[in-house]
Amino acid sequence: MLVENHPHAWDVNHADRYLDPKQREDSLPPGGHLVVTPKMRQLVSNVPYALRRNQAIAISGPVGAGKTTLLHAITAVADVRVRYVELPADLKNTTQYWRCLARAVTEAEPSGTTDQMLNDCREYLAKVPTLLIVDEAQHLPLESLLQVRSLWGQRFPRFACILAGSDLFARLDVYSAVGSRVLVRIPLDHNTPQRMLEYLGRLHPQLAATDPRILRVIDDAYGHGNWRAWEHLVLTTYDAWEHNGPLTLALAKDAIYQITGSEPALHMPGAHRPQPTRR
Amino acid sequence: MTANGPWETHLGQPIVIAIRPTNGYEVEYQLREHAAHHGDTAWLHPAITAYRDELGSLAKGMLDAIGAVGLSKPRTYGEAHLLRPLTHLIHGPVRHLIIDDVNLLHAEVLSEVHEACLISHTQLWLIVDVANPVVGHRNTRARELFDWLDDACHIETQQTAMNWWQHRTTSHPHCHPPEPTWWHQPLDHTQPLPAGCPDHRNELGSGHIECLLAWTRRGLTAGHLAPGIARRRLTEYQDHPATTAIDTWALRAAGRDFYTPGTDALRRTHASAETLTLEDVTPDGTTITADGTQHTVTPEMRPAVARLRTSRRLAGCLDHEPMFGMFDQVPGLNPRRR
Repeated sequence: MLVENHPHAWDVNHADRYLDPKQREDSLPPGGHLVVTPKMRQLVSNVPYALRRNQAIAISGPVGAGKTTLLHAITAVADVRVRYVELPADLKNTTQYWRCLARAVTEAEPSGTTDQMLNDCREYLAKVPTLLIVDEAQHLPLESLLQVRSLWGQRFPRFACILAGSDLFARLDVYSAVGSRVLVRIPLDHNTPQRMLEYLGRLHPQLAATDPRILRVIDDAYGHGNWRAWEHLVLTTYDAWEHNGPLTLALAKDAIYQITGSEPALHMPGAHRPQPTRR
Repeated sequence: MTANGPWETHLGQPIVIAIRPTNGYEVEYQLREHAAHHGDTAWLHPAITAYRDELGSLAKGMLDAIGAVGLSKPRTYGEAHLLRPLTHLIHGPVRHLIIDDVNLLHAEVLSEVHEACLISHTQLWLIVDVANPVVGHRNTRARELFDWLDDACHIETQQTAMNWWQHRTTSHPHCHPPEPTWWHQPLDHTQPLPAGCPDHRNELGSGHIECLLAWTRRGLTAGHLAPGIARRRLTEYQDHPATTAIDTWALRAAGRDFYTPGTDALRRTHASAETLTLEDVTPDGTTITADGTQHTVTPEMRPAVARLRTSRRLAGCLDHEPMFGMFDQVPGLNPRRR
């Protein structure tokens, strides 16, 4: 998080530089860099307006599409207080979800009814400019979603809410009072092989040094344009063999076997494939 | 009773502002901005609370919206009736009540709000999302709501409503609220109290309290003020060394508790006031009849007396019953409402 009116505020090109060390550890392999994508630029360009108008932004995409990394990038270049909350899936009722959100907003242990917690949040947000990021927002029950919605209908000095989750748009559309009041919807998906090859070179020096044909083969067989899968692969090669150099098919095969428990079919195009022995 | 002017919109029935999802947010945003110019307007967003009575939450929210934030922490659960906000609507300056996201409410609850607005001559504005797709078990609820809106309300386009609010004349043009950040600083007791505007000036000298309450409503309508913050500032106002006894009466009368200031005012007027019945007190709180003699209540205490009497009457009490709190039981009688 940057100080208010910092020259690099909301400039996503500097996100990697200001990334929180804990978030870097969570979302990137050691030595990796944050890859700036067009979706990341779209989100960052909309947040300052959303903050001025107390609006909400929704991000939806499958696991590994880069939602959390996107949120970490926003956190890095924000010049307002950012409150990040990852909602667990197993809370019992709306009050517990609200407790989770109120704790994130007010930075204190909330007490009382949902109504009181909502008022505490209003009180806090009226004083402190805040960007509230709710990850895994698909877990929010409908009532809690409506309560969050009541926050972004106010006119706090600077407030915006980013909701991110898998299959989130369908959830928001259940109630138009919520769905229709979302400023921007950013759909994310796994990257195409071509785009993924382009990004992998920027993600990690180890991948940049690897033969693109090998990367293509690994992506076809294992990665499937999924950021999380690739990060896991790099992390495994480093952790298991302390390997920092370019990836080879053999190394990738071992690492994927270690991750998934099954041997992947990694073959270079045109290479001789051993025929199964016929008895 | 005070301030019950004629209907400004010449309609009397609730006005539905029909909005569409494509620009609903923008309409609400601008409407809030226009409405926040008027100290007689309250904006209410229905709170969705789990396991709670909808009317109870709405009553609490309505009290906050109309500026009756009180001088102490409010009770945890709201009362499942609108008698308390209704008393304030009858005696207070609020003439317009705007409710957004009406789709979240049940028709029965809206019906209660409508009734309260009719009694208090308050114009009710309902912002309804007409393209609200409702699924499953909510279908019946939505159908009932839209049926009720069709039957009881006058439906207006968002453009007409916006024009009306944009061009509405301000009743207190010289009353300028402070910057939003003013609310966030504790009131400095070494500094004099902010001066009131000429529009709110009255012969009692408590006009600056009227200003303060109007600022509270305007801040809450604009959305940059939270009820908790307003409550703290009002309490600090009450404790300020420059605050007079007249100011304190005005602040207490605008609170949520009708019983304490009301009985205090009665006791100060006559020693045996505790035995008074409703018929001994005039509805506007100007005079009381005790021991067969008529006594005049001093002007600054009249709002408290009038509010206590009205709340008691609204709760269903009869002329011969004592001036207790809203639902306090008379020995031998069963409570009428809870």
